[in-house]
Amino acid sequence: MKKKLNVLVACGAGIATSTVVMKKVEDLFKEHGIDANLMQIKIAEASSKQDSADMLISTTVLPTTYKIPAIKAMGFLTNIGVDKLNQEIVETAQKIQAEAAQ
Amino acid sequence: MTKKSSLSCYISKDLLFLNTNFSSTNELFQAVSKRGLKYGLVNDKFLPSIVQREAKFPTGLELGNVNVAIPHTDVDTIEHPFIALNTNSQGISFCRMDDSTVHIQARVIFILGMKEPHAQLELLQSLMNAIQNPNTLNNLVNAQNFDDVLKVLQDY
Repeated sequence: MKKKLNVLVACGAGIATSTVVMKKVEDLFKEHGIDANLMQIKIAEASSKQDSADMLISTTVLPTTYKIPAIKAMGFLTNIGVDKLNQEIVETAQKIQAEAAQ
Repeated sequence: MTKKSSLSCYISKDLLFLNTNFSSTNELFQAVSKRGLKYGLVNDKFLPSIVQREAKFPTGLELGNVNVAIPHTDVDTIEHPFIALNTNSQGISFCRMDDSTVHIQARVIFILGMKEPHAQLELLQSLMNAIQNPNTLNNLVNAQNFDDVLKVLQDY
């Protein structure tokens, strides 16, 4: 069975843009049959929550570096480069699942 | 009959700043805060909070012809939910949301007063759909009054 991913979805305030991104990522994972728990956070919380998560998707600048893969997802707001962004997220998720299966 | 638009329902007539000459985000935020306090939409934490948040986590979106910014801050600074709209011909300098070293000139600015976290998905999606349409942005820049704004946004 494939690993269920824990994914952090962050924006500056945890209010507005991450709400939009949550829905996009939820739909994207569903479409690709990727099982995931999504957690909406403020980016400031990402450092302390990364140990219990597999990847981070954020609309903000990344204030630090993380141990887990971090993807900037502003494309979901502007609709610019969204195909590439979808691909990056799906490939990252699948890679994590493949590594967990080894 | 046009569908009831969640976006235009939230645009506040009291917080409409069309064709302004604000030269900085600080001037804009001060104006929004002043008016917001007057109408009981924000509390006195709003101004310092939004200034600080924009500096730390900028909200400029580079879209091509008309750039946009969507400043917002913590829910506990908002007394009553709103969307304030600012348009300006010169543009106000914002840093880009995903790269704070890049400045853009935003000519359409939606200041989001959200009272609940993780809510209003539909409203936010409508807003994103609106800003992704270059014609809508041009029409907003040209809007002269509240009725013009409602007309531009009625389909979202």
